Amino acid sequence: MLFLNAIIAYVGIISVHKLENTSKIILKESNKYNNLQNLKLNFTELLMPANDYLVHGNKVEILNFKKLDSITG
Amino acid sequence: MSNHIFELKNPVGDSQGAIMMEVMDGVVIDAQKKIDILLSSSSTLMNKYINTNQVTDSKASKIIIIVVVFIMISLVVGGFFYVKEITKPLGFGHDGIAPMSGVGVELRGAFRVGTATMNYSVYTTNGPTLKTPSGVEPLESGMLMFMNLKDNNNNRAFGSRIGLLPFSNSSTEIGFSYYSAGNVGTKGTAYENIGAKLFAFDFSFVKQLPEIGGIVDIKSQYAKSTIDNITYTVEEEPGVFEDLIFNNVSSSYYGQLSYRPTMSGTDFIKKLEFVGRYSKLETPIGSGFATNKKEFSFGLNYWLNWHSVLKLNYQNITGEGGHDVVGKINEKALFLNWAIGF
Repeated sequence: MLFLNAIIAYVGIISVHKLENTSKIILKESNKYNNLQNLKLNFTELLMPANDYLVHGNKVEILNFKKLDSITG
Repeated sequence: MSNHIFELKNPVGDSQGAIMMEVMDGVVIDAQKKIDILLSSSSTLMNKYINTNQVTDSKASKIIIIVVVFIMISLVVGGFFYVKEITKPLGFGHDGIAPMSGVGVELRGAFRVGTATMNYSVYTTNGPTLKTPSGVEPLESGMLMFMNLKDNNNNRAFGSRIGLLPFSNSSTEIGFSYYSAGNVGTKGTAYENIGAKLFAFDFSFVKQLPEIGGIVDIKSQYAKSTIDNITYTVEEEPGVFEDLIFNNVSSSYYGQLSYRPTMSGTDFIKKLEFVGRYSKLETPIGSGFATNKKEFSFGLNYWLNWHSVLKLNYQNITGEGGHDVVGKINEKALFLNWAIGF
């Protein structure tokens, strides 16, 4: 009986350990994925002030660009 | 390049600005393509590990379920291994007056007192459930049901046992146990404040006696159960009600003797074991489960090896009343059982 209980304990501990390790990797990859998505969006947003400046010539776009550039940088 | 655009004095419709914008679009599209490759790689990696987690979870669950099922089978089969007889004495098991097991926590230990040894155990469990007229067996109203995994109230039962092994060879043990449950009725019913108190004395003697060439094993126990009195209004037939008023006190005892000729020169005889038991159960007169019966049981066991035994038991129960029985009883039964210990 002790042997059977030991099997349950062993399987439980090993599984939890394995799940913990893979969960850490998934969390790390998930953060990386999120950051890449943000970076992709920032690149697109970074073009917008210059494009809008060419459309209407409003000086406020210079400030918008500096703000976005500081975030991306 | 954006800074160059911002330096233009007349930006609206400026062709140089439009060219710079086109170049910037190309650079950003290239960068986004590279990011997409990284995103795809990251996504594949995440999916791989999510699948690994699911497989690990599934495999572990399967192994644990298989082992738990095996343990449960072992407990059922192995339970017979640890008792000398196939059946339980009167007053134990189904419709018994004393608990065989419970869901809770227990603390146990032992210590030496000179040449003697004392052991103790204290525990708390969910406690028994009182059978009532609105339950599944209304005629057994007033009886305690111990084999319940689900609790019927917030009250806990407390129990303890103290045992004394007076001799240094630990051949003899005398024990006293006490069990108390403040509330055994289902919460919110008229029976919720009914309490129960149980006590028991037990005795055990196991020793190899050269004078008779084998091991003698004697076990006995006396148990008494007292449950608070209340009137149970039971519908005996559709529309016909009867008030059951009785003094809810039950008692049972048993004595068992077994002998195994382990010192015999014959291998076959060495593996034999002879068992005899007498037990008696008395439940409240006037209750729906009133009984006064006694049991004689004789058995012959054959030990195939140290963890496997074949048992043949003859049992005779006489008296009156009992589970779904009115009047005299005289039950005779023969049991054959193969038990394996783990």
